[in-house]
Amino acid sequence: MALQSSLASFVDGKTAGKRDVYIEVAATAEVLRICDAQGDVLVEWPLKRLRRMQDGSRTVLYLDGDPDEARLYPFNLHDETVLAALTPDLDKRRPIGPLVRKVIGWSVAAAAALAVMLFVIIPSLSDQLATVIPTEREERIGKVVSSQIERAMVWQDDSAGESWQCSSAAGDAALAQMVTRVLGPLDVPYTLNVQVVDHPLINAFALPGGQVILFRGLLEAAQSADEVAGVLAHELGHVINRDPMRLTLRAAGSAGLLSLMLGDATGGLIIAGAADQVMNASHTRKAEAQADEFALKLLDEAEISPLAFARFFETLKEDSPDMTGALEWLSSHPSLSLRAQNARDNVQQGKTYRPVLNAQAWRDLQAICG
Amino acid sequence: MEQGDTLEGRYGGQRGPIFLLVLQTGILTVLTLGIYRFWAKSRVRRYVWNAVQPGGDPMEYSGTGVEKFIGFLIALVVLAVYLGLLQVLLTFAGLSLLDLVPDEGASEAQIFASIGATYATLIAIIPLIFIAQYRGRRYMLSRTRWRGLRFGMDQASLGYMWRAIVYSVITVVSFGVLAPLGTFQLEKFKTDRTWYGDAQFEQGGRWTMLYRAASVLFFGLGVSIVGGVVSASGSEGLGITVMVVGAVLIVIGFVHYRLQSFAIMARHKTLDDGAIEFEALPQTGRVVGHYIKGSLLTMLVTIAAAIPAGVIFFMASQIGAAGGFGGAQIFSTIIAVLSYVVALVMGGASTMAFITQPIFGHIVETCAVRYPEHFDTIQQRAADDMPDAEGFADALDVGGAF
Repeated sequence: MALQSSLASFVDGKTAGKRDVYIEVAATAEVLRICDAQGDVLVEWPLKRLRRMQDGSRTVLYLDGDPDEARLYPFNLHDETVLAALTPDLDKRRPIGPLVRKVIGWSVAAAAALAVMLFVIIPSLSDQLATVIPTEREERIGKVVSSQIERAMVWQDDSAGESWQCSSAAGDAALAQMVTRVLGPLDVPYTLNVQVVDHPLINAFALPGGQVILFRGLLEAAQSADEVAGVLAHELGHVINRDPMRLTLRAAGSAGLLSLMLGDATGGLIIAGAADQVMNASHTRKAEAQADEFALKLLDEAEISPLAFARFFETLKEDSPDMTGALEWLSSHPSLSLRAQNARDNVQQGKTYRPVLNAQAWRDLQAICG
Repeated sequence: MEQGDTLEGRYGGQRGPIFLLVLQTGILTVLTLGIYRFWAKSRVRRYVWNAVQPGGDPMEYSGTGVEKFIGFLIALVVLAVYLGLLQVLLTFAGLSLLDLVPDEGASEAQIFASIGATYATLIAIIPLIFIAQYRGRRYMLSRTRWRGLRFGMDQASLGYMWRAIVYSVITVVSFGVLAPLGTFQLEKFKTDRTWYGDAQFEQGGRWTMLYRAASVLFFGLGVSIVGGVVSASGSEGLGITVMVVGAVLIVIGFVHYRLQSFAIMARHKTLDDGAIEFEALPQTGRVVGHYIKGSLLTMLVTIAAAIPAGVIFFMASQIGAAGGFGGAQIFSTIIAVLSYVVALVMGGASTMAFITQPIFGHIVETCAVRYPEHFDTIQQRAADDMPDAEGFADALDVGGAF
């Protein structure tokens, strides 16, 4: 379809002056001819190199490779069929070409820089921050994380609004008795808050600000109160080492950096991510080993047999077969058999151990969730 | 050609096309885990710039997604290195508590030093934010054209950075009373370094003229205080009503200040030694109206977007609860995440189409350029490369709606 003479505005890319022009297609020469009001030809654009600006509603035409970068604003060329008839390459874009190499190079550099941030700077920064954060603020953070975990774990239940914390007069007393006995004369920098929650998972974890959470499933799976005491001592080890705060900060920092990478993420997502991290036992192997060591020391001082602690690991092992080799190295917790063995090695011949709770108190504790 | 004329601002953007554009690029951004957002932003800008048509001639945005992406990668490297080195330096200077174990007993000085190190890291980010703001504007101008000529901005991000810090401190210390001083001086700093082709902009006027724009804000504050006094003197119901009115006035006052301080300063800008002047008469009422109408529409669209997914999610969770289909729980979780993402993307598209664009369009259409015949004498300027594009603004998340 040949283009009849049509009105347009033309800017030459040299000054901001605008000219009213006529444009027409010289079919034989395959050019778009741009003429001024007197009919003199200003410039001829080869149709093959004619291009249209993308994503705009007002049509703007230009010549690909034009050093002056002149622009043509046609008035009556909004009809797609007329425009498409001019050249099939109208919407063709320049290839990215040499920029690909640049993208790859900077991607590698950015990945390396991010790795340094994630694995060196954030861990060391969060370790530093964890030691200086005021106790009250840490306790507040702990409450936020704990409510996030609660919401994440019981969100499918109908009992929304009800707390998942278990409490009964006798059970609370038994729990307090166990905490006092395990702790001994140890001074904890927080108001220690140990609670049992109504959830079938065999698990326990420590949260920032001296919160320790034991799951109902753990009390049910344990064969004696001493086994629970061992787990409690282990979690207290995390509390004393400020592991939860360190790991929460680390997770928050990493999540913040990743959200910087991925664009906008809401603060809630970051906290949820951080809570998730803490819960999913992202405790490093070193922190776990230290907490175990600490637990065995506490048990020894409290005259509670480490044998029960070992037996608990063995029970867990039956539940989830141990990983070996590379998989074990990859997992964040040391292998269960190793930890059981370690606990057994701590049994001292000739030392008299006393059970942490009497039979009645142990029944009360197990029934704390009703 | 346009002797004695003024070029009226015209905004040619429409709701449908920009809604679809933001929706489409938003979905691509989600699918590419956020990488497409650089292309998304460039495409939206191309649409919006093209719709801004002073005297009928469209503006042009020539920035590309790939250059923004490269700029972002560069900024990531620089930021990581900067923060890393800073961390090492602080540790080296002994400003760290890495070696402190709680039961060893830290001295007061050690704790102080450690807190200092923490704040030093946080404070070290602030100058970067101002630099990112200035460089972001310079990049945007260098990729903006009108009638074929480029805009541009001088390299002065360091000068801008320390001035911005000083004026921020003045604003905070004066409880906001001297905020117009900072608003004006920073805008003047940027305007006086802005070019269109080989013509330079100039910001005229004085900072005190911005107090006119702050009138509604001050009135709202006064009403709130009166409400507080009335409430304290016994008649609580009346007092609280007055205080609510005051709070609404304060919110409107903020919008009025931002809009009218922009307009006042725009009316005092000139181009090429006073040869070209500008008009700007946006109405706060119209902007607030667009905002309220647009917010309601956006809310409706976002809720509507979540309904189908919500129904499926509810049904799946019911089946799961009844012990029926085992995978229902996982299925419903996936649906929940998907519906969140869909609602987010739809919300973004609605915000642009029903709030941001109408407000922006109103501002453009109430602006005008006087003595445009002088444009014939303005010449092209050289291109400004900027390999880091606006990567710092992207990495530190500073920047406006577009």
